[in-house]
Formats: sequence, C-alpha cells, structure tokens
Amino acid sequence: MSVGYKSIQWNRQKLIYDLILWASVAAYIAIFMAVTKGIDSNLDIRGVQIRAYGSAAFLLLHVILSIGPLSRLSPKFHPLLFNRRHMGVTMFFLALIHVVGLNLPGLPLKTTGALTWYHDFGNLDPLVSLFVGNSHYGDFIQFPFEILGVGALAIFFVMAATSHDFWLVNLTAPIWKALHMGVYVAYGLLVGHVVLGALQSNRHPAMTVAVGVGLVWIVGLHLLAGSREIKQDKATLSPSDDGFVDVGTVAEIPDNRAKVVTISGERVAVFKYDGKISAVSNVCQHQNGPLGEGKVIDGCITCPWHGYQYLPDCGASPPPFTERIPTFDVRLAGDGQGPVEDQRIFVRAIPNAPGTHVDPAVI
Amino acid sequence: MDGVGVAIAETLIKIVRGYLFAGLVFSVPFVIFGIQRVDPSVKGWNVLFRVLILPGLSVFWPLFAVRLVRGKRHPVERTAHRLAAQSASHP
Ligand code: HEM
Ligand code: FES
Repeated sequence: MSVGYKSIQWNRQKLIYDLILWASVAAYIAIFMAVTKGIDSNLDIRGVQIRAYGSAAFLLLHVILSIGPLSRLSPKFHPLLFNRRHMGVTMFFLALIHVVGLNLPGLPLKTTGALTWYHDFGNLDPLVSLFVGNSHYGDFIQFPFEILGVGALAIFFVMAATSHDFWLVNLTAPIWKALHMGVYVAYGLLVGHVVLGALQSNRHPAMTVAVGVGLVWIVGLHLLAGSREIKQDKATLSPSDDGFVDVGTVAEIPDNRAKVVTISGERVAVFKYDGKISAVSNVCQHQNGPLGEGKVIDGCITCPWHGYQYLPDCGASPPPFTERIPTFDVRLAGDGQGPVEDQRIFVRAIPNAPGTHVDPAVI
Repeated sequence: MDGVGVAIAETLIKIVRGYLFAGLVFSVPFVIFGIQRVDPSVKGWNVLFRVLILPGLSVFWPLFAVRLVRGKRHPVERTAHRLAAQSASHP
C-alpha cells in the first residue's frame, strides 16, 4: 500500500509467474520461427521475425483480455490478476520489437522490425514513410493497415508507461481505469491491422479465421461475465423507515467471508469474522477491487486483487498505511431468541465517512 | 504521396517529438526536486522507480507542472458511498 513506492513489486510468487510468462513467450517465438522456416525455407528471416513478435504480442493480448472476465466467473483466476500488469508491459515490448526491432549493444539477440524492413530504403525518414507510403486512406481493403498498428502501439505505450501504482494514485482510479479501457480500442485496431495485413498480402485465409475465433472468444467471455454483474446490481435493496436495510441472515455468510449487497448505488460487503458482523463499502481504494470477494486474513479484510488490507470495524488500513473506505452501521435482529444462525442482519443505508469506527454486531 | 502529404506527416511527427522532448526536460528535474511536493508517498531515493515513471511523465507532464505551480496534490477518488457519507456529515 502506499507507504513509499517500490520500483517493481516482485515477491516469490509474482516472480515465478513472470518467469513462466517470459519462458512461454521465448518458446513461442522459437517455435514460430522454426515452423515457418520448416514450411518454406526461402522466406526472409527478417519477415519471419516481424511476424513472430507481432503474433506473440497479439496472442498475449488475448490472454490479458481474458483474465478480467475469467476472474469474475471464477476466483481460481485471481492469481493471474496480480500479473496482468507485467503481462501488459511484456506485450508492449513484444509489439515494440515487432515495429522497431531489437538491436541492443552487447545483446546477442538481434531482430529486424517492420519499420526498418519496409520503410528504410528511400531518402525519407522511415517514420514519415510509414504514414505516407500507402496513401489509400479512403479505401477499405487497401487502407494502410500499418496505421492501425501505430494507433494500437501508442495506446499500449501510454498504458505501459502508466502501469506503476504511482499513476493510479496521481491520475486517480477512475481516470486511470478509463485510460486503460483504451486496451479495447487497441484490440479493435489490431483486429483490423492483422486482417487487412493478411488480406493485402494475399496470405492464406487461416489467419483471418483465427482472428475471428479470437474475437468471438473475447466478446463472448465479456458478455457472459457482464450479464452476471448486471443481475447482481439490479437487486438493489431499499431501507425501511429507520434507515436500515435487511441484508439476510447470519447463516448465509461463511466465516471470514462476506455477502455482497447493493445499497446506496454501490455494493456493500458484509463480513462475518470472530463471531462478529461488520459492513464496509465493497470498493477497494487501490483499483476498485471487489473487497467482498476477499477474505478476512490476520484480522484484516484483504482485497482479492492486490492484497490491500482494511480493519473490518473501521475501514482503515492498519498503520502505517493510510487508505480508508466508508463503513456502515450494522445491527442484528432477534438477539437472544431462536438459533443465532437465523438472526437477521441490518445495515444502515447511509455510509459513514471513510475510516469511521463502527461497533461490530456481536452474534 | 504528394509533397503536401509528406510535409503534413513531417510536421505532425515533429510536434509529437517536440512535446515528448519538452516533457523529458521538465520531468528529469521534477523527479529529482519536485515530485515529493506533489505526492508525499514518494519517499527515499529509489532511482529505478523514478526512471520507471519518466516515460509517463513525459506524456502527462502538464498535469504535474500545474499541480506543482498551484501547490496541489492528487485528489482522492469519489465513489457513490464516499459522496453519500460526505453529504450525510455536512447536510
Ligand atoms: C507502428 C506500428 C506497427 C507497424 C508499422 C506494424 C507493421 C506490420 C507489418 C508490416 C505486418 C505484416 C508482416 C508480414 O505480413 O510479413 C504486420 C503484421 C502483424 N502485426 Fe503489426 N505493426 C505495428 C503494430 C502492431 C502491434 C502493436 C501489434 C500487436 C500487439 C501488431 C501485431 C501484428 C500481427 C499479429 C501481425 C500478423 C503476423 C502474421 O501475419 O503472422 N502489430 N505488422
Ligand atoms: S484493487 Fe488492488 S488491492 Fe484492491
């Protein structure tokens, strides 16, 4: 949490995920080159390199775009959310190599990028040639597909450059999120880039079909996850005369877990822990993660996305951290009578200021 | 493409390069001297952290220049619950 920024947040687990990620990327590129060369040994190695890195980036983008909806559908995918940022930055660098190549002094790995290969003959600056080389801007099929790639690469650059937590805090989460929603624009541009690129070079239609399958997968997954969310938010609860909302029974909530309900236009997480009930706003201060899908660990509500922690009775991160979220007054009805499990939980509809202490309801 | 097209492309590229370069000129002294006034969570002398945020600063530098001049920090985000809590305590 924000007690001084670290440069890169690596722990053992994240490092292992990153190593697996990079090994997979390296293996993919090696296999792509070997197979393509095997099919047609007359191909120019530089063209193969460009396509290997471009397709590696595009495939990784599919993985990245799948993680969000998948982890909405099943908590099994939560660990991948932690690494999505590193995947995004890795993808940007793969795309960058696709475009400008790789030629670092001292590094044995050298590849040619699309910019050098296609645009570095004349006396024009390759960058200028990129924009003016194909001028069919008014045509659909002949449209300069490389310009679509430029747009996508620019979006990926801004996203990678603002991926550090510093940016989340300084741009604020809503703006940062809006910016990172640009990934969908980039994805759309790339579908055009790849399909038009393949069409214009009269390649096998398999490429277009594969892009189509990817598109159906990404859109389908998002629709599925989205329809579930909408169903939950429609069930908004309204308060009775005393301003409290009946959110259900104690028995409904497993120990150290929460039930999520929608009150006052946003979700509330009602936690059960140590024989007590506390309610806090469901929205994590870090990146708006769903706190109600997290657990109480070491006495703290722990966000399932990146592990920010809050004390359940006051919505504040344990010192020295400074994050605070709104809390809600809670009470139980039917105290003392009948089985405790049947007691109903009531949550006040009006939230308290972030960090306000509220006595937990004792079961 | 004709000469006009080339001239337009060249000019646009120059503008973008100029903007990013100006950003770098602002950002290098900013991460050394000014950043802690805008975001007090920047603590100590972590050089790699400062290098990592340089590319983004070169894009968003006007935002930080304005905050630095006005002596402001980043705002806290407003959610439905935060707004409701605020209007309940200051009716
Ligand atoms: C300035 C930006 C870009 C330029 C100039 C560019 C250029 C090219 C060129 C010339 C090709 C055709 C290669 C060939 O047919 O041999 C191509 C294909 C491709 N590009 Fe890009 N590209 C750019 C950005 C991107 C980005 C950002 C991505 C993905 C993240 C990407 C992914 C691909 C893919 C998947 C292919 C198809 C590879 C294949 O046919 O196997 N490109 N690009
Ligand atoms: S959203 Fe990142 S920790 Fe909660």
